[in-house]
Amino acid sequence: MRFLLLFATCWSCLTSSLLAQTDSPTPTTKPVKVSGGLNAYAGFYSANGLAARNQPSPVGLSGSVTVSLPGGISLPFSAVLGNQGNSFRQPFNQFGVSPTYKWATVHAGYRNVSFSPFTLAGHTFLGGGFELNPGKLRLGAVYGRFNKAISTNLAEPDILPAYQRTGYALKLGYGKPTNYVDLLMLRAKDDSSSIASVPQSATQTVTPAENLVVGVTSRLLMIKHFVVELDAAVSAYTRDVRSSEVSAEGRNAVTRLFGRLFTARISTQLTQATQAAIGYRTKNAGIKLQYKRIDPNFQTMGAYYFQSDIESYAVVPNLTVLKGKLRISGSYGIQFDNLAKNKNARTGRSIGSLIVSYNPATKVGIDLQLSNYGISQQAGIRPVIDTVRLAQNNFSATVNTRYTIQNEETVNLFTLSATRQQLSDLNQHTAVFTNNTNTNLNLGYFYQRVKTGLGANLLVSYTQADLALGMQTKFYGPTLGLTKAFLTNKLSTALNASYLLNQQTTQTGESLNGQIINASANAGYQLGKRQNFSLQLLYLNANTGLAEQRYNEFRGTLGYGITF
Amino acid sequence: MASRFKKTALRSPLWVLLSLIGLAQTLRAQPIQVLVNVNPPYSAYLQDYAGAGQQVQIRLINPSARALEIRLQGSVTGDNGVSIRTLPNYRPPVPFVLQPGTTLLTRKDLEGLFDLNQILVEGMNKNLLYQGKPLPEGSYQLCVQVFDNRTSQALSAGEPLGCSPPFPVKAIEPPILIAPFCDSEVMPTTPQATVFTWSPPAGVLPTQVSYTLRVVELPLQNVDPNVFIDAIALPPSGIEIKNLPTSTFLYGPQYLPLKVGKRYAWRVQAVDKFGKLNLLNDGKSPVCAFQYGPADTLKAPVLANAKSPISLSGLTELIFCGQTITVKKITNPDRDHFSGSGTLVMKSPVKLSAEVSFSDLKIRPLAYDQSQKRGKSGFYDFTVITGQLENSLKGAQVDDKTAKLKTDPHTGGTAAMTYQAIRLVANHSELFDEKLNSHRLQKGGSDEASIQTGLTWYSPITITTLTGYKPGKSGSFSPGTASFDGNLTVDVPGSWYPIASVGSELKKAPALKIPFSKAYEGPLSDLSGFYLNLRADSYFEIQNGRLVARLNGTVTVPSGRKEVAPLIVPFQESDGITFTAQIDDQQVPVSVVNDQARLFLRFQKLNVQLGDLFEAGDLPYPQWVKGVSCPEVEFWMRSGDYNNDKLDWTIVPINPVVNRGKGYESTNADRKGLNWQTKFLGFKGKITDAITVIKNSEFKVGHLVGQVYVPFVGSVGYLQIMIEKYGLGEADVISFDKSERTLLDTPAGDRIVVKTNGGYFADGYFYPDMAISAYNATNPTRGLDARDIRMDAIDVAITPKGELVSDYKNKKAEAYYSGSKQKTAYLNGLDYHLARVVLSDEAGGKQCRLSFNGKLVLGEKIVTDDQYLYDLVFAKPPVDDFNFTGSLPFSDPFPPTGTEGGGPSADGAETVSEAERAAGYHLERAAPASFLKPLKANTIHGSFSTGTAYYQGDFTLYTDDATFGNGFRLDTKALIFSPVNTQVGATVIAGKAQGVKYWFAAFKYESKDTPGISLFLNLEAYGFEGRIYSHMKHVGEPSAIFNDNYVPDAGTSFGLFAAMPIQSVADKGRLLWGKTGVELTFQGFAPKQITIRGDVNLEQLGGTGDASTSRVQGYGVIVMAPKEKTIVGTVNMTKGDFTAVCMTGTASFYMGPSGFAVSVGSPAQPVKATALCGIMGDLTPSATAYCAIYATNGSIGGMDWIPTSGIGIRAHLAATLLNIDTRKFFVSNPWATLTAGADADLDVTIRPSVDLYARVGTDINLNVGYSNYSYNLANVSESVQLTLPDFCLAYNKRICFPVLGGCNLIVGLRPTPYMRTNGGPEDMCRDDGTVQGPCEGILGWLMDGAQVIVNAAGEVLDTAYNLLKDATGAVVKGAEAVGGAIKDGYCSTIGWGC
Repeated sequence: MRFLLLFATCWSCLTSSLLAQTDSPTPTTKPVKVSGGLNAYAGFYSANGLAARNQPSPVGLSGSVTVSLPGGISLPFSAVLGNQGNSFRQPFNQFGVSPTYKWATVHAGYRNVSFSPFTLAGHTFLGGGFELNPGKLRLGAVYGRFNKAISTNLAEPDILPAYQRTGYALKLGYGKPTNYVDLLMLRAKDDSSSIASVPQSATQTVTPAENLVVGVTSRLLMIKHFVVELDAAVSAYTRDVRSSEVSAEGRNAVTRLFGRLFTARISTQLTQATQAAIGYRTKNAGIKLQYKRIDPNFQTMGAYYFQSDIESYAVVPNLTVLKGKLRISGSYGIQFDNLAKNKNARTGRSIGSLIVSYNPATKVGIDLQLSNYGISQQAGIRPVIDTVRLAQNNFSATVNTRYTIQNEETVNLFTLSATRQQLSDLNQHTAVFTNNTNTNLNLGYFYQRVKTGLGANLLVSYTQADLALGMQTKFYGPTLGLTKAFLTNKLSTALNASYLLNQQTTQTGESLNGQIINASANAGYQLGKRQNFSLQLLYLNANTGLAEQRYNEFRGTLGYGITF
Repeated sequence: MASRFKKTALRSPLWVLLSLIGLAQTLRAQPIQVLVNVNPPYSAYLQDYAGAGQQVQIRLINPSARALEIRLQGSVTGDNGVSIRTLPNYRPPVPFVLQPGTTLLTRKDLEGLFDLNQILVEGMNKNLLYQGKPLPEGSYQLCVQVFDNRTSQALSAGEPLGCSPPFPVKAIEPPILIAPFCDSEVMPTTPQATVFTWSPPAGVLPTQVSYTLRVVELPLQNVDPNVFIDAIALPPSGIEIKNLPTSTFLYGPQYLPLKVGKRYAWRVQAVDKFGKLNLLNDGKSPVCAFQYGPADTLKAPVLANAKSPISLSGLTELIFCGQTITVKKITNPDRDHFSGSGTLVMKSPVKLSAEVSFSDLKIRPLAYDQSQKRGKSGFYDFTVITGQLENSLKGAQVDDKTAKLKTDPHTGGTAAMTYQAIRLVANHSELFDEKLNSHRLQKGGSDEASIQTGLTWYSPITITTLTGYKPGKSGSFSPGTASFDGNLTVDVPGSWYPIASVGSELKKAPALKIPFSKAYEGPLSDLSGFYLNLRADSYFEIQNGRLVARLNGTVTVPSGRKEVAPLIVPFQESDGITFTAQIDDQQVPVSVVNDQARLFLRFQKLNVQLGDLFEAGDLPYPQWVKGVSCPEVEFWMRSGDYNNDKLDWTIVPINPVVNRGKGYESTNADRKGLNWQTKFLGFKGKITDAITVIKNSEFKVGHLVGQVYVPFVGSVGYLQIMIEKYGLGEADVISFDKSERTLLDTPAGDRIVVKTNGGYFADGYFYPDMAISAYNATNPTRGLDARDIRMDAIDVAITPKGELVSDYKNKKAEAYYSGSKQKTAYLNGLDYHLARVVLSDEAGGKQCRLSFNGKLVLGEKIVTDDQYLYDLVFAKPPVDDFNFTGSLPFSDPFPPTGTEGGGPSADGAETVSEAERAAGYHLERAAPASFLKPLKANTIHGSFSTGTAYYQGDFTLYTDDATFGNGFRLDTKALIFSPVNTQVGATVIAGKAQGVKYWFAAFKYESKDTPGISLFLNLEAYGFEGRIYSHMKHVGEPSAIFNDNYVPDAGTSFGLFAAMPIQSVADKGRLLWGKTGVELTFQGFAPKQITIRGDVNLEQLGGTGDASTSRVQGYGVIVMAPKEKTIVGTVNMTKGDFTAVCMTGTASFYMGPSGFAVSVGSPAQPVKATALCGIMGDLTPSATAYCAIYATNGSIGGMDWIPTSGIGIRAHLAATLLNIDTRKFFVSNPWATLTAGADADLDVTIRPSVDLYARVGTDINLNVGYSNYSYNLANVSESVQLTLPDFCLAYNKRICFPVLGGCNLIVGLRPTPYMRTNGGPEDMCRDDGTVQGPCEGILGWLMDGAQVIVNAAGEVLDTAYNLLKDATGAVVKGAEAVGGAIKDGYCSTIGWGC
């Protein structure tokens, strides 16, 4: 019901706006403008031979629509609606609006507002707020419910329980959008009475928590090409508000400063996080140096979970030469943890990536992507135990080449791509469990008749995965596809079918043969310039030889989209 | 452990000492056992060990039988050198009392143990603990030791006892996602093979964890993936794979397909296989998003740059001003100076191919323009942008090597062309569109294509050409002297004509137009009298190599008769030489009478064919003849009354007429299959055939054939209307589709049937040839039997509405039969000679009356006179909802019918007959009437008078009478005038009804003037009336016994009635006149009811016997029902004029099983008294009252307002003192009304309990108004209520003014004295509907305030109340005793009931 209601609301606001648009064409008044898009879909899913991997009848609506009223007011609506899973009970069907007028923005509904990465960083809340930028002053405040109270019950033990969490965040800053310094504060607290006492099972521990974060964020464009970014925050986080208070002597400045706002308890921890970057960027080249340090267990109620206990340095260069024909970008960074020196081992990671894209002519191109991710450990408070030492190297490389033969009537495209991903465990003790290699080769031929919109493609692929414990999976085979456009390209249809032979070697060395058949039919119809309908039917029949991989699935989706 | 212990011990010797003492103590006394257990997941926070939850369980076992006062010391020690202990001098604020037995410690008990200010920390920075940081990783033990709170004696064993098993403290970071990189774009492959990689959690064995991978499609591009990661069901695609053993996953084709262009969120959760690890965030990694393929779906690959040079091998065709040139040779490939030669092929307007050479052309490939479909000729047109070409066509190869053209079948003849040259000129500018990667023409350019050619057409039109014709400058012509016949030849010399581009769709190609450029005219050789004139702007149209002549001009058509003018038919852009010309409403007279056209043809278009066509097979005869034909002709006939010379035309379509030079003539006389529905003289009719013979533009003979529906007859007749030279003639109905119609058919068998064979129409009426039969089909001796009474002797006429009229319009249709014409019929089996039969409509038109007037032959020579009428009134057959259906006869034998049948009928609805269906109409026919109502037939009235007397007798026979069944009634009456007025009457009724025989005998004698039987008080009885009857009862109220209207009744066995009229002797009834009577009825032989009634009229002011002038009028009735043991008496004074006051009213009493009651008046009929008999009109005070004394235990019939149980008195009095309405006196606005009244109620019950309710009230109302609007000015009312024994006394005074409000003061004494200034009915003792609510208005609100003060005064009255209450209590008790005595006395008196 709510689904329909909101849809109707959206629809009426759209149509009325569109009407308004046509009603007032006079140039003196700015007409109402609507931009954005809506997508709705409904489908079915049925599976045979395995537990359903989707809802039997998925349905949903998503969209964001911005209505710009005369006088500079803009109303961005966004809505996401749909049927959701059983285990997740935080509000998912969301609707919100953030109207903007000149330098003022108001938030209402379900919103994801971000003040900085370490304070209010896009956590969904239901509530309201505003952001004001009169002149160079930057003010912001939001208030709302960050979590909905969810109780577990015997009938649904998988539900993640949650206390109702309410909070607010404030921003006070100075500057322009490209050059500013903001001081931030976030305070949120769980309502310990919002749910009945949580049965603390061995694996689920939910305690009512409280958080106060103060931070600073800044973006400075120093000299023309230099950009400096800084985000820092200190978070006081009480894991359990039921624990007793710490006597108010106060051992540090923050406690004293924010003592009135925050009650320090014995389960309160104080952590800090900082990230900074300096970048230099010109038209064809750029480089960025990044530093990040996040205390162990740093957390804030304004953000979703992110990695903590990390100190990292990274350099990110990019370069474009030969009049844009060659593009090179890469990154290299190292990371360490155990910042509190309370871990047995210190884990270091080195992360590197390189992307080279060379397109000497429109008909020929080659892309190369390389990345390496290495992990190693050093002694922390103890010597590293060999059996659990983490020492891995994860390397992946992808090469894509394409070649086009084209005349007035036809286009012929040949593609060859190869991917190799290799996880090498340098620890001999664990290598047998972790080593694996994936190789994928694809040769494709695409044929397209320009005028008739008729196209065909043939692909041959080979994929081999050498998994741990001697297991191996291979599949290879052809894929044939047909595309055709009708009604002066308004209706586009596509048929694809692939037949893949599958070979598996199990842990016991047994070799199994099977096949996977994949077929899909797609149709899309463009109705006018703004609307489109799509129909997709997918059929998957897998019989890899393993008993649990013998199934077929059939799904269909009917979608409707409109853009403004 | 031991070494660390030592180290610690050295630092705090005191603690060691204490410990040792404690140990000794413990060993000596019964030690307290400490059991410490720590459950996974093991927290890395010290605080969690202080706060006991599910993770930490500490049990103390006190084996002694007494409670101990203890304190605890705790420690957390790790194998990494960390040691945290409670300070030895720590004392809890409140000592812990350990009860005997086992105690599980709570959070409160333990909290102080690891208070940051009470602990000793070694091996780590204590500040980290202040900051809430976790313990360093390691294997820890939690220990608790118990001390005596006072003596500090250790009561439990120290480490290693009282310690938990070592547990690992290790916060395991969740996996870190590696690939796809966060916010990266993944290249889609086919089949899909995306590898997901993440780093395993540090510090655990790969076998300790498994992974759950979740990939979820995001609904929008710019949303936070965290929000959606757990909503697995949302996206159309998403997947969760559990129990992954390794940190990579190949998302292969066997999984749900990832969608190109969609954004996905993914996350890995490390799952602890054994439940011992402390995984941060439940092992869930941060959420990342990736884009699967570019957001925009792949578009078709971009074409090669259209700017690239022309590939000569690819260029085969060139579009030049819409013409296509197949390139054969290129001498200059430069796109701006393109030169060469090729073949130009033209398919339309003419077909030719010619070798052309071109040079210096600027050509470009143009984008395919969707609006101009070029079929399969290519995506690109290489089009000439600018350039010129002119080529001679002398050597051009023309289609079939001759220049002959095909001619259109409607044009005919032959044609030939002479091609001379072709010219193409293009002058455009173009623009390259980077986006479309193609060129396109800019607006404003021009191109020109033209051909130079001549043409000759040898037409099939034969024309007499006048020689000597010379076209002058003004286009006039001078008649020649000689002429010759021959085919018209049009010759056009060579000239340039523009041609348009052809493209591939030849049919749509524009035509080449070549004008005649010169005019042609002359008489047509083979159509006498026809004259043709072709204008110079006639032209040829050539398309796809075929020629059509488009002629403009006129053709003159002769009428064939001198007096009728010829017709000039103009035409424009004709379809060859055959065409349909529209003319303005042309009328051709075909019959003229007295210089006036009576019949003529009318048409608006003519099919013209100027010559012989041999190929035009689509032109059928006779619509197309050489000459002209009128395909749609209407025939107009005078149908009006020509005496009045009123123009009135009947128009029918007839078959086509043609004119081939001999005037108009019909091609086929009989135009069949018309379905022309019309009204004929107001009757619904249909013309199906029109037969008209016309020759030489003159009408010869004809008539119209059709059908007509005649109401009342209810059938369709076959109609024939003659057409005479002066217009429509006689009209006859030859026969009817259904000649018989049953007008009446009762279940008893009575029938009336009419039979109509035909008739004719005249003056708007239909005169039927009709016969009527009226008879009973089953019993010929029942009622009338008259068959086949022909009505043709008289003029029965039927109007279109179905009304029956005679020839004399307003008279009833009737037939006379006299002398030899007498028709013989039968009445109840007796011979009946008809003298007259009348068939007519009853007033209102719903019914018909069929009257027979004749002589009843009772025996030989015993014949009644002619007046013996027998009338039958029956429902007239309604005018059928009849319509001719639209179908043609015989074309559809079963047309769909509408609702068949009429209303409900016992005989069943008549269905549509096959004949009706076939005839193309259908009849919705109402069912025949089902009731018969003979009138006057059973009452025979006779009378006789002499000079002194009058005798009268009525004899009525009942046949199947609803009330009387079968029987008779005889009433005789004799009035004797001399010597004295005497009235004698007798009635006998006998018969059988309701299954029993009944009879009735009555005798009446009255002689007012003769001395009667003296009674008493100077009264005498001057007559007698007696009745005796069986199985009958009188009609009406039981008290209305003077009524002599009796009906059969099986419930009464017999009855007796006797009555006497009485009067005062001296003045023969002027003072008193009345009647007394008694009636006894029996059921079996027991009396059923005894009724005694007496009527009285006093002082008849108007004279003897005039009851209407009586001063007092009334009656009394006593009804006794012995079986029911009831006596009910009623006295009703219907009039009482006592000069000073007039009164009416009733009084009743009841005695019987339900008790006893006496009442004077009743709420429905109160006793009403009006002062001065109302001579002052509305100003007269009047009063109504009723009162009853009752002792009942059941309901009393006729007095239902009396309570059904109890003993009591109920009384009511109401008086209207004043009722002034100014409108009664002045006829003006505004007006005012003033009413003032008072009323009182008393309701006393003695039994079953004493209860009294009394009320007195007054009411004054003032209204002012204007016209219909009224406004209440003031309302003043006053009311006092008293109830006992529940003592209550309430006084209400209500003065209300609109808007202003007022006061509704209520003062009462229940239960305590009170006063309400704005009270309501609820404040009174009883809400009897007489007290209104508070006055709405300003004053009312003010009064509310005053009430508060007044309430205080009520307290004073409280005391008075109590005094009164005691006093009344005594009164009530006395009344109860009296009441009981009355009831007992009553019951013992009457003996019944109680």
